[in-house]
Amino acid sequence: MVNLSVKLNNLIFKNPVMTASGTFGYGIEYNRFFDIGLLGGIIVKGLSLNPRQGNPPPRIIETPCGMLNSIGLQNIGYNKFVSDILPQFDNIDTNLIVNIYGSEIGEFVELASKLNNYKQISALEVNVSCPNVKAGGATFGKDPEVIFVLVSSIKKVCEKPIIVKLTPNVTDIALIAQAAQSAKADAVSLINTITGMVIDTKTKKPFLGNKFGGLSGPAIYPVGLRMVYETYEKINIPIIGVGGINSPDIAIQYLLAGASLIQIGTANFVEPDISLKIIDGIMRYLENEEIDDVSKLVGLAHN
Amino acid sequence: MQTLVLSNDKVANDIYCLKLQKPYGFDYKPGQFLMIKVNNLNEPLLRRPFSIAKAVSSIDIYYKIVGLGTKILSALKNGEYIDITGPFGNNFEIKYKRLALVGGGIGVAPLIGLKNFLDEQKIESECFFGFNTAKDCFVDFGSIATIDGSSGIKGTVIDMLAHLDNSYHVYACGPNAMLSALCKLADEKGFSVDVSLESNMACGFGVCLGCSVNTIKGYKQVCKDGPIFNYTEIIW
Ligand SMILES: Cc1cc2nc3c(=O)[nH]c(=O)nc-3n(C[C@H](O)[C@H](O)[C@H](O)COP(=O)(O)OP(=O)(O)OC[C@H]3O[C@@H](n4cnc5c(N)ncnc54)[C@H](O)[C@@H]3O)c2cc1C
Ligand SMILES: Cc1cc2nc3c(=O)[nH]c(=O)nc-3n(C[C@H](O)[C@H](O)[C@H](O)COP(=O)(O)O)c2cc1C
Ligand code: FES
Repeated sequence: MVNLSVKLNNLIFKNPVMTASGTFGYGIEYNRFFDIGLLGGIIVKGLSLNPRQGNPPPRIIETPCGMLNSIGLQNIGYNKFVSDILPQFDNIDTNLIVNIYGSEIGEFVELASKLNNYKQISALEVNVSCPNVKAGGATFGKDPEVIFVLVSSIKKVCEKPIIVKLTPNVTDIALIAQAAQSAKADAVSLINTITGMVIDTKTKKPFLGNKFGGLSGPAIYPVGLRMVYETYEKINIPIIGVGGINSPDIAIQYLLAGASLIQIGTANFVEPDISLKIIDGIMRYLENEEIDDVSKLVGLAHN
Repeated sequence: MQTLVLSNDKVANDIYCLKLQKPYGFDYKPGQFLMIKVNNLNEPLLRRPFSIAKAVSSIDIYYKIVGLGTKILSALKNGEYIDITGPFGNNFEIKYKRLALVGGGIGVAPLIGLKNFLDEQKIESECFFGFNTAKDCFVDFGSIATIDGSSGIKGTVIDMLAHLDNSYHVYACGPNAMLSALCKLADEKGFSVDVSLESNMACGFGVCLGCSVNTIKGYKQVCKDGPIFNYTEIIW
């Protein structure tokens, strides 16, 4: 038997496969397709203190081997999440990770301290790809000093493991990962979507209501993989790989590049039970390669 | 779910009828749709939404070739398999009024299932369908209008609706120009209208939040809160 389980601090993941924020709703929606308790973890849609309407439509458009989205972090807000969603996780045997964001540091901290009280939640994933209102709309995730202050502040109020989700829209992602590590983040996840746009040649205007969107899907996997590989050489905390994974082969590439865990995003829309196929594929790969523990794959692509 | 293709025949200009083997226990309500993965490659990546026109002995879908996905779909042969998810979405609610079904072009597709259902329930309804020319027409019932007069009356589907008053409820699906003309008429004559809307979709079951439409109660998801909406709800 091969061991698929992965440890992150005190948390045990039964396998390295999780579902990415914004691509798996609140998890429950997928129960019609398969038993979500079989997953290593579920990361729910980005949550903010107050409900958010999101961006004007159209919000998505398909691009070659990928898609652009400008959802604008539409979500039900903290109150509704803890009253309506959390109780449904009482008996689901997987790690529930809540992806959080705010428009200023205080908002992140308040949300993290409130969520710290709920036993159903295993960890928080901090989405730093959103605009920072106080810093004039620049993205939190682009400034290592801001990341340091943000993560240190959250760590002070929340005992649960803190995962920092990094944006690829920077010059040196490893530098940002190092800032997160210095602030005692427990792990980093990368990558979020890559900024892009599509112009409608009929109207001669940007297609998306928000002009720009985030590129995801198989088109971006080589980029995410390269960033995981680079970051692995610069930090010691675990890396969670995400970006374009839609087959066991790509998932295994991420592990080899240095990811301890992986997340499936856009592929959930196309094949709702893709995660199970990937768990199965990783298992079979390990058996064929006669490797008895998935953690032995991590970082093997490096010298 | 892998589903067997029973037939996939051209029924009008650029319009095909795809018949799929009905999976055991498959149940749907008129107005609902399926998400179809047209091949098992990365291109096109996402599933495509199609209304279920009928699901009596087989699942029937009428589709028009508009791009890569529908082009690939048109090459499917009977005996091959195709992956579907669904049925998704809400359904047409039956109102206790005189009922009229109004469709334009490929928008007629979801109304076929509704007509079928109403007939089964012995509920009377009137059907009005508009096409550009006789070659685009793929239905064999209802009153037809064509822009060039090659079939039925010459004009648009709206030209056949002068008699509708506030005793009517209309179910509509079609191009935006048709829907906005219909809604203008509804405002004048006082009949009510439910429309089946379209939007780009990634998931089809409410998780990507990509298919939003602006309504008087804020953004709603076409795939989950719709595709059927009362027209007064929508901010056009
Ligand atoms: C709930 C719902 C039910 C539908 N039912 C049917 C049906 O029964 N029969 C049918 O033929 N079509 C139906 N459609 C539209 C169908 O989904 C699109 O035509 C299809 O996705 C186009 O895919 P493609 O790859 O061929 O075109 P793409 O390459 O994706 O696009 C080609 C062109 O088609 C246009 N297009 C793409 N998607 C849509 C859309 N959703 N609506 C209008 N234009 C679009 C684009 O603007 C583009 O110019 C439905 C859509 C929805 C949301
Ligand atoms: C529709 C959509 C919504 C997303 N919403 C969020 C979000 O709320 N928070 C977040 O951190 N990432 C969000 N993401 C990013 C994904 O979690 C993931 O990082 C990205 O899509 C790359 O992975 P993929 O190529 O496997 O989809 C979203 C992605 C998509 C496609
Ligand atoms: S298509 Fe994904 S939410 Fe509607």
